[in-house]
Amino acid sequence: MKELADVALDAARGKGASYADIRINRYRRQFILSREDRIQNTVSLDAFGFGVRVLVDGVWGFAAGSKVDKDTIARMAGVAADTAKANRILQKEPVILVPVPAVVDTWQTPITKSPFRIPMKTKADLLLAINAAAMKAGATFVNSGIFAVEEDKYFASTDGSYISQLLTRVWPNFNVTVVDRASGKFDTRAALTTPIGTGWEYVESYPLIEEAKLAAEQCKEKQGAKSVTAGKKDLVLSPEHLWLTIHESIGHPTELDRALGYEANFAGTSFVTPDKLGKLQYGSSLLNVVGDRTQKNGLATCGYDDDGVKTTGFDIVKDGKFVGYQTIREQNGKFKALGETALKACCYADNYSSVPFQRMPNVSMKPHDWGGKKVGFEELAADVKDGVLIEGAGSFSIDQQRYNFQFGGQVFYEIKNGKKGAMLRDVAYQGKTPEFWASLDMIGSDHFYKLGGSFNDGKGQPGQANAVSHGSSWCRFRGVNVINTGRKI
Amino acid sequence: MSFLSESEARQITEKVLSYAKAPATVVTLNPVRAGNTRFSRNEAQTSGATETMNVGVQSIYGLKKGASTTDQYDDRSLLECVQRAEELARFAPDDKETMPVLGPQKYLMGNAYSPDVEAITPEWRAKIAADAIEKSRAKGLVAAGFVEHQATANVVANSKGLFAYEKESGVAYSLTARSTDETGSGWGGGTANRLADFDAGSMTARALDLAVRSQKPVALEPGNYTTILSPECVADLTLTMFFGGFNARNYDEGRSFLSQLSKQVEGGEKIFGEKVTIYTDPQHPENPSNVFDGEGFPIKKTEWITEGVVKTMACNRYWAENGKKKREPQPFPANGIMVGGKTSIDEMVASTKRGLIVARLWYIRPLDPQTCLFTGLTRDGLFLIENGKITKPVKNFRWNETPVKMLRNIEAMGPSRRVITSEQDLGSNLFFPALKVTDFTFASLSDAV
Repeated sequence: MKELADVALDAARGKGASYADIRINRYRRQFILSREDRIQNTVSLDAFGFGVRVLVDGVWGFAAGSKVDKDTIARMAGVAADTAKANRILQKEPVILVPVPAVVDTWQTPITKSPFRIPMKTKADLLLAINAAAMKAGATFVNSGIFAVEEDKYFASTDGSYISQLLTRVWPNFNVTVVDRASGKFDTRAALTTPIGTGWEYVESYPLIEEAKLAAEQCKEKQGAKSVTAGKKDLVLSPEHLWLTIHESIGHPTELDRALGYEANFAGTSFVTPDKLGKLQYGSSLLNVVGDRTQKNGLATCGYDDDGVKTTGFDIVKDGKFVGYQTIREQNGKFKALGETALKACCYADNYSSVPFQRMPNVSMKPHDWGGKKVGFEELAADVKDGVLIEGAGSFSIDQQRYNFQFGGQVFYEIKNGKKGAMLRDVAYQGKTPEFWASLDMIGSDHFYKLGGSFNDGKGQPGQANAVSHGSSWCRFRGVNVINTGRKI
Repeated sequence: MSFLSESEARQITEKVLSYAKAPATVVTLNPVRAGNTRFSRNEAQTSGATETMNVGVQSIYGLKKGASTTDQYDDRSLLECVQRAEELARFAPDDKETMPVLGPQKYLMGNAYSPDVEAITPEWRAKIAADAIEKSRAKGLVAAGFVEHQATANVVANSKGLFAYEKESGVAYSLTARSTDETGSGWGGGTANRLADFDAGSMTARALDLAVRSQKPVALEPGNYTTILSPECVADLTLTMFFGGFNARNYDEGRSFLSQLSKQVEGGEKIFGEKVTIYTDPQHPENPSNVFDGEGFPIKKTEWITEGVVKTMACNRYWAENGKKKREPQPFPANGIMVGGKTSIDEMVASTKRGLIVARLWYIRPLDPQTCLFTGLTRDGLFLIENGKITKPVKNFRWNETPVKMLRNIEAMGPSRRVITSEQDLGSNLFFPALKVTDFTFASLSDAV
C-alpha cells in the first residue's frame, strides 16, 4: 500500500502540489432482506479504489479511480492537479492547512464478532424468526433486514502520515404493518434498534423477537388509537426518538461549513452564524452537548479523520450556551480569526471516489447528574398534566437554516396528570430550534442513556452519506406545539 | 481509461458468465466517468474527476438467489465476485417469488447519450462558476453552486442470452445566490443529456433575479392560499406520490394511498383533476431515459395518469403474474412527463386576487402515507400576489400538504420544461409544468432564508 500511496504523493508533488493525500480503501457492505416468510435477497457489495486529493496554489483538486495500479494512480494524481489549476481563476483566498504531526498508526473498531463472519443462515433464520413473531402477534406484513459495513481504509499524506483503519458497523431492523381492510387504514411501527459502530454482539444482545411482537401489538393498537388534539403540550421524549431531533437541530446547525456558507447551494446554511460563537443561548442551562468521534459504539467513531487528524471529543453546547463548532483542518487555517483553533477531526468521505469534506461527528447530549439516582420516564412524566410521550424516530423535516422543524415518531401516548395514558395517533410536533431547546426542563440520568443514529445522513454535492450516532437520556420539554397530521383524501 | 464500448462490455459479461456455475446468472456493468466543480462564498470549494466501474452478479439456483458487486474487473476479481454471489445463493433459503431470468428482449433506440458531455473539461466547468461568481459580486450577492457531468453505460447480460447495452450522459448545474445581509436568496438550476439543451446562463439569471427580489421579506399568517408552484415544486411533489403510492403490490396489499380509493381506481374514475396526464417516454427528445431496467426488462412509453384517471402502476414480474389480478409487468417510471398547458406565469399572477408564488420546495418528507401527506418548506423565493401583481417577498413557510389535493385543485397550467428536484441535480428525468392551485396548506412560519 505504501508503495502505491507514494506514487500518488510523488506525482502530485511533481505537478506542483504543496499538499497531497491518497486514500486507498475497500468497502464491504452486506445486507440481507426479508418479508414475512421469505428471504428477498442476500447481497454482498465490494468497492475498492483510490482517491487522490491535492492542493495546488491553495486550490483543491481531486481525482479517483477503481483501477488500483501505479500507472492509473500517477495519471489520476495529475488529473487532480490539473483540476485544481483549472479552478485557480475562482479562488479568492488560498486554502491553508495548519500543520499536523506525521502519524504512522493503525486503528480498528473494537468488536467482539465481525458481522461478516456470521453465517448467512444464522442471519436468515434470525430475520425469519423476527417476522414470524410479528405475524403471530397480528402484523399483516413485516419487512426486516440486517446491514453490515466494513471500511478498510488506508490514508497517506505528504505530511508523512500513513494510517490504516478498519471500521465496522451493523444494523438490524424491521418494520411492521397492520392493514384494516374494512376501514382502509394502514399503520406501521419500525424497530427501535439503531445502526451502531460495533459488531454482531449488538444484534445478539438486542431483544429483536420480543420487540417484533411488541411492535405488532402496538401497530394494532395504533389503528384504534385516539387522534391527538392539537395544541401546546409537554413532551417526554425517549432517547430512541430524541437522537434525530439532536441530529437535525443541533448537529447540523453547528457545522462550521454550513455556518460559513459552504453548503448554501444544497443543505443550506445555519442560524448559528459565526458571530454567535460563545454568545448564543442555545437552550436551557441543562443542555450540554458534545461532539466526539471517540465515543464508544459511535457510528462516526474512528482513530483519525480523512485529513489524517487524530479524533477527539469537544464541547458544542455547555450549560446551554453555544461554545464550539464542528470543524475540519483547513478551517483552522483559513478562519483562524473565529477562534476555532482546536483540531476537531470532522473530515470524512463516504467512498474512495468521494472527496473528503466536513461531516458530523457523534453529537450527543449529556445525561443529567442525579448523583446515582435513576431518573427516567416515570420521574419526568410525574409533573406533566397534559403531555405526550414519543418513542422512536418518524417523519422529520427542517428548514435550510435549521430554525423550523417538524418531527413525528413511532408510537405516542398521552400523559395525563403524571401518568402514561392511552395511545395516540396522528402526532407531530413543530418548533423553532432555540425556543424548543429553551423549553427543556428535565433530563434523565445516565442509566437510560442510549445511542441512536443514522447510516445515511446526506450532505454535499455530489451527495455523500455519513454514519453518525447521537446519544441522550429521556428529556422533558414544556409547551411544545403539537399538530394533528390526520387527513382525508 | 477509454469508455467501455459495447464490444468491451460484451467481452466482460461473457467472461463473467463463463465463470458461473449457477444454473442462471445475471451480470450488470456500470462504468462511470464523471467530473464536478463546487463553489461557494464566491470562490472555489472542491472539484474532482472519477473513473469507476461497478460489476454486479446475481446467481440463481432454482428458487435460491444471491448477489454481489465489485469495482474491479481483472479476471481474479470477477471470478471472486461470481463465487461470492454463488455462495450467498447456495446458502439462501428458497424464495418462492424468484422469477426465471429474461430471454433476449427488443428495446427502443435510446437517445440519452451525447459525446459532447463526455468531453467536458474542468476549465469548462470553472467558466460557468466564474460567470456566476462575477455576476453575483456585481449585484452584491454571494454565490454557491455546483456544476457536474457524467457519462455512464448500463449493461445487462444473462445466461439465457439477454444482452443490453446503452450509454447515457448528463450535465447539471445549480446556483444559490444570497444577499450579503442574509435576507434574500434565489436558486436556479437545470439538467440536460446533451450540451445543446443546456443553458447555464439562464439558470444563473434566474437565481440572481430571485435573490434580488426576495430580500427583506415580511411575515405573513400561515393558512391556505391560492398558490402558483414552479415546475420544480410540481415535479418534487408529484414524484413523492409515485414512491410507494403507484406500486401495484402496495395497492393490492392495502398500503398505498390509492388502496382506499380502489373502487374509483378500478372503475376508471378520475382520482386527480382532468388536466392531469403523466407518462413515461424513454425517447422524449428533451427528457430521455434508460430503455431497459436493471434486469434488462424493456422500458416503453407508458401512461400512468391520463386526464385524472390512474392507468397503471409499477409492478414487478412476480406480482404481475401472482397479484390480485393479472397485469403487465411495469418498471418504476424511468422518467416523468406531465402534459403542460398554455398559461404563462405572468397570466397566472394576473388572474390571482390574493395568493403566493413559490420558487422552490425543500426537505420534503412523508408525514402520513395513508393520505400521501407530505411536509416541507418553501425556499429561495416566496412572494405575495395581490390584485394580479407580485407585491412583496414574504418569509418562508412550512407546508403540510398532499400532492393528491394539489393535482385536484388545478386552476391553470403552464408549459412543461425539464427540471431538477430539490435534492438531486444530475439524474432528474422530469418534465413538468408550473401550476396554479387553490387551497394549498401553509402550516407555520420559518425564519430561514
